[in-house]
Amino acid sequence: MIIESLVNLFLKIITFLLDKLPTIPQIPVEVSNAINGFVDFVFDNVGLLGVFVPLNLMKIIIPAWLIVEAVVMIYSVTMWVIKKIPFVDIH
Amino acid sequence: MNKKYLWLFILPLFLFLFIPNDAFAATTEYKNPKMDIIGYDSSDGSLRYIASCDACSELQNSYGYPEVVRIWFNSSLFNDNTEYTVSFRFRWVYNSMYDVWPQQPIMYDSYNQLTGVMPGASHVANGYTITNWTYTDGYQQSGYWFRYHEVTFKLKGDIFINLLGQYFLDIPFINNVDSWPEYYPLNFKLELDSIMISDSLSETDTIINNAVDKLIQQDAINQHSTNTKLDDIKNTNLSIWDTIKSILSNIITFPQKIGEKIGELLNDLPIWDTIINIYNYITNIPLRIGEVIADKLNYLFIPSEDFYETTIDKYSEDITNSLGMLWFPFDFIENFVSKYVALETNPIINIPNIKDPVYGVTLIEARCFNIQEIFQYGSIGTVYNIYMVFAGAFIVILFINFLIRKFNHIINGNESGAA
Repeated sequence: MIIESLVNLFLKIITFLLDKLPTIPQIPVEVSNAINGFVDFVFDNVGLLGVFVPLNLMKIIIPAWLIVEAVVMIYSVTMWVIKKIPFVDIH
Repeated sequence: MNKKYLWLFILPLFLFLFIPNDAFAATTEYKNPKMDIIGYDSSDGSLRYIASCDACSELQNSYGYPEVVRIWFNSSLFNDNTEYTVSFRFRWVYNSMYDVWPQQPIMYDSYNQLTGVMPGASHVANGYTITNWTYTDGYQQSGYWFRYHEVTFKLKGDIFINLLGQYFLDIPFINNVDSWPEYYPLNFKLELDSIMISDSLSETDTIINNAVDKLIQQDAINQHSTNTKLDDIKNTNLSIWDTIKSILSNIITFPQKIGEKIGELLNDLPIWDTIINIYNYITNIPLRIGEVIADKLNYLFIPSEDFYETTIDKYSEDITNSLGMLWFPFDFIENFVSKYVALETNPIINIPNIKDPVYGVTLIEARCFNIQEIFQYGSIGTVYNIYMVFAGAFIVILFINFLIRKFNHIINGNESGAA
């Protein structure tokens, strides 16, 4: 109940603030179609890579790689911020 | 006098205008309110309605006429929306020493100020139309009763005829009228001669007999009810005596029974089981309290199962519209991830039908190739399988190496990620 109330409150604040901001136009349809068309083209033909590399394995390795990179990046950013604090003596 | 108080006198005059006229006429509606039909009689096989007038002071002179208040036909005799022809007579039952003789038989319609009865007198009863009245001008005198006159009419719809305040039996007397005592009861019988469905005389007897049967049955029921009550009284008296006897015997044996009951209670009481149950209940109290607290905490802090789904559906449209093109990256990521999850890992090539554009002849049939299967099960299948094993191993080794580099980067504090 408390979590639900907080989430609802947060979303109401967000929507309220967004309502006060000027409306941002949507991305042009041509642009979105081009991008989505390219993605569709890649994914429709990426199966051919399966001739040379095991795609089942890649479907696991690639997300794991992205997660590790994201964690390291968050760690690096956090450490960069902490090192900017003068009295925290970290080098 | 101050004029502003004048409305106190004018307002009641206006209110007086809104009082209905018939509010003052109600008390003069009835010539003789003591006259009413008190029941029916079926002693001689015919159905009669009896009107009674006790101490009718209006009958002391030749102009007295008891009011026929109401003619009511038992609703169980009739069907709705059926036209019946009903014949009845007013008969005066006379049981005194006075020799009375009807002078002129008339029915008096106080509404129209006419004698006799009028056909189509719709005012007789609201909602009921009497289609025809047939007046039989004749009366008989035999012994101490006389047939006064006879009216035949048809009615539609319901079977309730209210003659309230409209018709009167006008009974002029020629003998001893002046000495008629005020307190002497007069009984008038409205004798129902026949009831028949119009143009169907054969049903007359049936209806009359049915009515008589109903009355006989009602009498039997009343008699049975009376007998039952007498039996109940007798049984009640017996049961009271039995109760008194049982009370006395119980009083005498009361101490002995108390002792027996206490002994049985002590013998049958599972005292240790009861104590153990109490102990278990007490020791389980903290557990029960914990369960209650856990339930309440669960209710407070854990959202319901469909909360996030419904909430996202509720707010996503507003947020998407407000953000505009800024929302596109999120859309793109969602699209990319969904395609990646649904990625077909088998390298299948679909070739559609290829036709001659001029003649429409199919040159190449539609087919699909799984290239991986061609390599796996072809002549180089073994070599290909070995290659795939090494390729997988190489990828895994690269990934492990990647993890080691990142681990060293975090341990050594190298923000560039280089090992």
